Amino acid sequence: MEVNVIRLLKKKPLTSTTFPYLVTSDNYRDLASKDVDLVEITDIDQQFYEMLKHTPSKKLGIEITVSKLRATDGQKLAKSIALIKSVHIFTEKYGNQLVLTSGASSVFEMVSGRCFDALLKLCDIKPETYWISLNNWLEHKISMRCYACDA
Amino acid sequence: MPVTLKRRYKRRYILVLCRSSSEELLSITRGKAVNMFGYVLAQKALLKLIDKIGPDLHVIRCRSEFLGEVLCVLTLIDTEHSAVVLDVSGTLRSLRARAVIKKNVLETVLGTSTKS
Repeated sequence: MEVNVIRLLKKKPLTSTTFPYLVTSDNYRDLASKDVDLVEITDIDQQFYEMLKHTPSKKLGIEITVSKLRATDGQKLAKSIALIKSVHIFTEKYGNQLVLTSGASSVFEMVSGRCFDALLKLCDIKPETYWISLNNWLEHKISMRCYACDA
Repeated sequence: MPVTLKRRYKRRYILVLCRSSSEELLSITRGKAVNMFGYVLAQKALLKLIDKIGPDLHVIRCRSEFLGEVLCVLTLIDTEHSAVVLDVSGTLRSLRARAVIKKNVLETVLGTSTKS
Protein backbone atom coordinates (compact mmCIF):
# COMPACT_ATOMS: atom_id res chain seq x y z
CA MET A 1 0.00 0.00 0.00
CA GLU A 2 1.33 3.47 -0.92
CA VAL A 3 1.33 5.04 2.52
CA ASN A 4 3.15 8.26 1.69
CA VAL A 5 0.82 9.30 -1.13
CA ILE A 6 -2.73 10.35 -0.33
CA ARG A 7 -4.92 10.57 -3.41
CA LEU A 8 -7.60 13.21 -3.71
CA LEU A 9 -10.79 11.84 -5.23
CA LYS A 10 -13.93 13.66 -6.34
CA LYS A 11 -16.18 10.70 -5.46
CA LYS A 12 -16.04 8.07 -2.79
CA PRO A 13 -15.04 4.71 -4.34
CA LEU A 14 -17.70 2.00 -4.24
CA THR A 15 -15.25 -0.71 -3.18
CA SER A 16 -12.31 -0.63 -0.78
CA THR A 17 -9.06 0.61 -2.29
CA THR A 18 -5.41 -0.36 -1.88
CA PHE A 19 -4.34 3.28 -1.46
CA PRO A 20 -5.23 5.96 1.10
CA TYR A 21 -7.49 8.72 -0.19
CA LEU A 22 -9.50 11.77 0.73
CA VAL A 23 -12.77 12.74 -0.93
CA THR A 24 -12.67 16.41 -1.92
CA SER A 25 -15.25 18.93 -3.03
CA ASP A 26 -15.03 22.54 -4.19
CA ASN A 27 -18.66 23.22 -3.23
CA TYR A 28 -18.84 24.78 0.23
CA ARG A 29 -22.42 23.51 0.58
CA ASP A 30 -20.86 20.06 1.11
CA LEU A 31 -19.75 21.17 4.57
CA ALA A 32 -22.65 19.25 6.08
CA SER A 33 -22.03 16.18 3.91
CA LYS A 34 -20.63 13.08 5.58
CA ASP A 35 -19.16 11.64 2.36
CA VAL A 36 -16.69 14.47 1.86
CA ASP A 37 -13.38 14.76 3.75
CA LEU A 38 -12.08 18.03 2.38
CA VAL A 39 -14.03 21.07 1.18
CA GLU A 40 -12.26 23.81 -0.74
CA ILE A 41 -13.28 27.37 -0.01
CA THR A 42 -12.85 29.04 -3.39
CA ASP A 43 -13.93 32.55 -2.41
CA ILE A 44 -13.21 33.01 1.28
CA ASP A 45 -14.55 36.57 1.30
CA GLN A 46 -18.05 35.58 0.16
CA GLN A 47 -18.25 32.00 1.42
CA PHE A 48 -17.05 32.46 5.01
CA TYR A 49 -20.31 33.93 6.30
CA GLU A 50 -22.30 31.35 4.33
CA MET A 51 -20.09 28.69 5.86
CA LEU A 52 -21.04 29.79 9.36
CA LYS A 53 -24.71 29.10 8.57
CA HIS A 54 -24.01 25.45 7.73
CA THR A 55 -23.05 23.27 10.63
CA PRO A 56 -20.08 21.33 9.33
CA SER A 57 -19.71 17.67 10.15
CA LYS A 58 -17.01 16.76 12.65
CA LYS A 59 -13.44 16.18 11.50
CA LEU A 60 -14.00 17.85 8.14
CA GLY A 61 -11.08 19.52 6.37
CA ILE A 62 -11.59 23.08 5.15
CA GLU A 63 -9.12 23.81 2.37
CA ILE A 64 -7.79 27.22 1.40
CA THR A 65 -5.37 27.38 -1.53
CA VAL A 66 -2.47 29.82 -1.85
CA SER A 67 -3.13 30.01 -5.62
CA LYS A 68 -6.50 31.66 -4.87
CA LEU A 69 -4.80 34.11 -2.49
CA ARG A 70 -2.27 34.96 -5.21
CA ALA A 71 -5.06 36.15 -7.44
CA THR A 72 -6.15 38.73 -4.84
CA ASP A 73 -4.45 42.02 -4.11
CA GLY A 74 -4.34 44.85 -1.58
CA GLN A 75 -7.43 45.20 0.58
CA LYS A 76 -9.01 41.92 -0.54
CA LEU A 77 -5.82 40.01 0.28
CA ALA A 78 -5.68 41.63 3.73
CA LYS A 79 -9.31 40.64 4.34
CA SER A 80 -8.62 37.07 3.20
CA ILE A 81 -5.68 36.80 5.60
CA ALA A 82 -7.86 38.05 8.45
CA LEU A 83 -10.57 35.56 7.45
CA ILE A 84 -8.12 32.63 7.45
CA LYS A 85 -7.57 33.34 11.13
CA SER A 86 -11.36 33.31 11.63
CA VAL A 87 -11.66 30.03 9.70
CA HIS A 88 -8.96 28.56 11.94
CA ILE A 89 -10.87 29.55 15.09
CA PHE A 90 -14.09 28.24 13.52
CA THR A 91 -12.50 24.86 12.63
CA GLU A 92 -11.00 24.48 16.11
CA LYS A 93 -14.36 25.21 17.70
CA TYR A 94 -16.24 22.56 15.70
CA GLY A 95 -13.48 19.91 15.71
CA ASN A 96 -12.60 20.42 12.04
CA GLN A 97 -9.26 21.14 10.37
CA LEU A 98 -7.97 24.08 8.36
CA VAL A 99 -5.92 22.78 5.42
CA LEU A 100 -3.71 25.35 3.73
CA THR A 101 -2.48 24.05 0.37
CA SER A 102 -0.51 25.46 -2.55
CA GLY A 103 -3.13 24.63 -5.19
CA ALA A 104 -0.20 24.36 -7.58
CA SER A 105 -0.66 23.26 -11.16
CA SER A 106 3.06 23.50 -11.99
CA VAL A 107 6.44 23.37 -10.24
CA PHE A 108 6.66 27.17 -10.38
CA GLU A 109 3.50 27.52 -8.25
CA MET A 110 4.63 25.26 -5.44
CA VAL A 111 5.05 26.62 -1.91
CA SER A 112 7.88 25.57 0.41
CA GLY A 113 7.38 24.57 4.04
CA ARG A 114 9.15 27.67 5.31
CA CYS A 115 6.79 29.89 3.30
CA PHE A 116 3.78 28.03 4.70
CA ASP A 117 5.12 28.75 8.18
CA ALA A 118 5.56 32.44 7.31
CA LEU A 119 1.99 32.57 5.95
CA LEU A 120 0.61 30.87 9.05
CA LYS A 121 2.43 33.36 11.28
CA LEU A 122 0.98 36.17 9.17
CA CYS A 123 -2.47 34.72 9.88
CA ASP A 124 -1.67 34.56 13.65
CA ILE A 125 -1.60 30.75 13.62
CA LYS A 126 1.23 28.95 15.39
CA PRO A 127 2.91 26.74 12.73
CA GLU A 128 3.85 24.00 15.25
CA THR A 129 0.25 23.67 16.48
CA TYR A 130 -1.07 23.71 12.91
CA TRP A 131 1.27 20.97 11.61
CA ILE A 132 0.62 18.73 14.63
CA SER A 133 -3.17 19.06 14.31
CA LEU A 134 -2.99 18.53 10.52
CA ASN A 135 -0.93 15.38 11.04
CA ASN A 136 -3.41 14.07 13.64
CA TRP A 137 -6.34 14.88 11.36
CA LEU A 138 -4.74 13.07 8.39
CA GLU A 139 -3.88 10.03 10.50
CA HIS A 140 -7.46 9.92 11.79
CA LYS A 141 -8.93 10.19 8.29
CA ILE A 142 -6.64 7.55 6.80
CA SER A 143 -6.87 5.07 9.66
CA MET A 144 -10.69 5.16 9.76
CA ARG A 145 -10.96 3.36 6.40
CA CYS A 146 -10.68 -0.29 5.43
CA TYR A 147 -8.19 -1.05 2.67
CA ALA A 148 -7.94 -4.00 0.33
CA CYS A 149 -4.76 -6.09 0.34
CA ASP A 150 -2.34 -5.80 -2.60
CA ALA A 151 -1.68 -9.54 -2.89
CA MET B 1 35.56 52.91 29.01
CA PRO B 2 33.48 49.97 27.73
CA VAL B 3 34.05 48.96 24.13
CA THR B 4 30.87 48.62 22.11
CA LEU B 5 30.85 46.65 18.91
CA LYS B 6 29.42 48.35 15.89
CA ARG B 7 27.17 45.63 14.53
CA ARG B 8 25.79 45.47 11.05
CA TYR B 9 22.23 44.23 10.63
CA LYS B 10 21.83 40.49 10.01
CA ARG B 11 21.08 39.40 6.49
CA ARG B 12 19.34 36.45 4.93
CA TYR B 13 19.96 35.15 1.41
CA ILE B 14 16.96 33.60 -0.33
CA LEU B 15 17.23 31.22 -3.28
CA VAL B 16 14.22 31.77 -5.54
CA LEU B 17 13.01 29.78 -8.52
CA CYS B 18 11.29 32.15 -10.94
CA ARG B 19 10.88 32.30 -14.70
CA SER B 20 10.98 36.11 -14.81
CA SER B 21 14.21 38.08 -15.15
CA SER B 22 16.08 39.07 -11.98
CA GLU B 23 15.23 42.77 -12.34
CA GLU B 24 11.58 41.95 -12.96
CA LEU B 25 11.49 39.64 -9.93
CA LEU B 26 12.97 42.31 -7.68
CA SER B 27 10.62 45.05 -8.85
CA ILE B 28 7.59 42.74 -8.51
CA THR B 29 8.71 41.69 -5.02
CA ARG B 30 9.18 45.33 -3.98
CA GLY B 31 5.81 46.26 -5.44
CA LYS B 32 4.04 43.40 -3.67
CA ALA B 33 5.82 44.25 -0.39
CA VAL B 34 4.57 47.84 -0.69
CA ASN B 35 1.09 46.53 -1.49
CA MET B 36 1.04 44.17 1.48
CA PHE B 37 3.05 45.91 4.19
CA GLY B 38 3.53 49.51 3.06
CA TYR B 39 6.46 51.61 1.88
CA VAL B 40 8.16 51.75 5.28
CA LEU B 41 8.57 47.99 5.65
CA ALA B 42 9.47 47.55 1.97
CA GLN B 43 12.27 50.06 2.46
CA LYS B 44 13.43 48.66 5.81
CA ALA B 45 13.59 45.10 4.44
CA LEU B 46 16.49 46.26 2.20
CA LEU B 47 15.70 43.92 -0.66
CA LYS B 48 18.60 43.48 -3.02
CA LEU B 49 19.38 41.24 -5.94
CA ILE B 50 22.61 39.38 -5.28
CA ASP B 51 23.16 36.66 -7.83
CA LYS B 52 21.68 34.60 -10.61
CA ILE B 53 22.40 30.89 -10.78
CA GLY B 54 21.18 29.70 -14.13
CA PRO B 55 18.24 31.25 -16.00
CA ASP B 56 15.60 30.46 -13.36
CA LEU B 57 17.44 30.60 -10.02
CA HIS B 58 17.88 33.97 -8.36
CA VAL B 59 19.42 35.01 -5.03
CA ILE B 60 17.74 37.84 -3.12
CA ARG B 61 19.03 39.41 0.08
CA CYS B 62 16.91 40.92 2.84
CA ARG B 63 17.20 41.92 6.48
CA SER B 64 16.80 38.93 8.77
CA GLU B 65 14.29 40.88 10.88
CA PHE B 66 11.85 41.01 7.94
CA LEU B 67 12.42 37.50 6.55
CA GLY B 68 8.89 36.33 7.42
CA GLU B 69 7.31 39.24 5.57
CA VAL B 70 9.59 38.77 2.54
CA LEU B 71 8.75 35.06 2.38
CA CYS B 72 5.02 35.90 2.48
CA VAL B 73 5.51 38.44 -0.31
CA LEU B 74 7.39 35.93 -2.48
CA THR B 75 4.69 33.30 -1.86
CA LEU B 76 1.85 35.64 -2.79
CA ILE B 77 3.32 37.06 -6.00
CA ASP B 78 0.76 36.65 -8.78
CA THR B 79 0.70 33.39 -10.77
CA GLU B 80 2.12 35.01 -13.91
CA HIS B 81 5.44 35.76 -12.16
CA SER B 82 5.12 33.12 -9.41
CA ALA B 83 8.25 32.48 -7.36
CA VAL B 84 9.23 29.42 -5.34
CA VAL B 85 11.49 29.83 -2.33
CA LEU B 86 13.94 26.93 -2.43
CA ASP B 87 16.34 27.82 0.34
CA VAL B 88 17.22 30.45 2.93
CA SER B 89 20.67 30.96 4.38
CA GLY B 90 22.64 33.38 6.52
CA THR B 91 25.69 33.22 4.29
CA LEU B 92 26.00 33.43 0.55
CA ARG B 93 28.72 30.77 0.48
CA SER B 94 26.58 28.04 2.05
CA LEU B 95 23.58 29.04 -0.07
CA ARG B 96 25.65 28.75 -3.26
CA ALA B 97 26.94 25.32 -2.19
CA ARG B 98 23.39 24.07 -1.59
CA ALA B 99 22.11 25.77 -4.74
CA VAL B 100 24.34 23.56 -6.90
CA ILE B 101 22.63 20.43 -5.51
CA LYS B 102 19.18 21.98 -5.93
CA LYS B 103 20.03 23.03 -9.48
CA ASN B 104 20.84 19.43 -10.40
CA VAL B 105 17.58 18.21 -8.85
CA LEU B 106 15.65 20.90 -10.73
CA GLU B 107 17.24 19.90 -14.02
CA THR B 108 15.92 16.39 -13.44
CA VAL B 109 12.45 17.55 -12.35
CA LEU B 110 11.94 20.21 -15.00
CA GLY B 111 13.78 18.26 -17.66
CA THR B 112 15.59 21.40 -18.80
CA SER B 113 19.15 22.56 -18.59
CA THR B 114 19.63 25.45 -16.14
CA LYS B 115 23.24 26.21 -16.99
CA SER B 116 24.36 29.80 -16.50
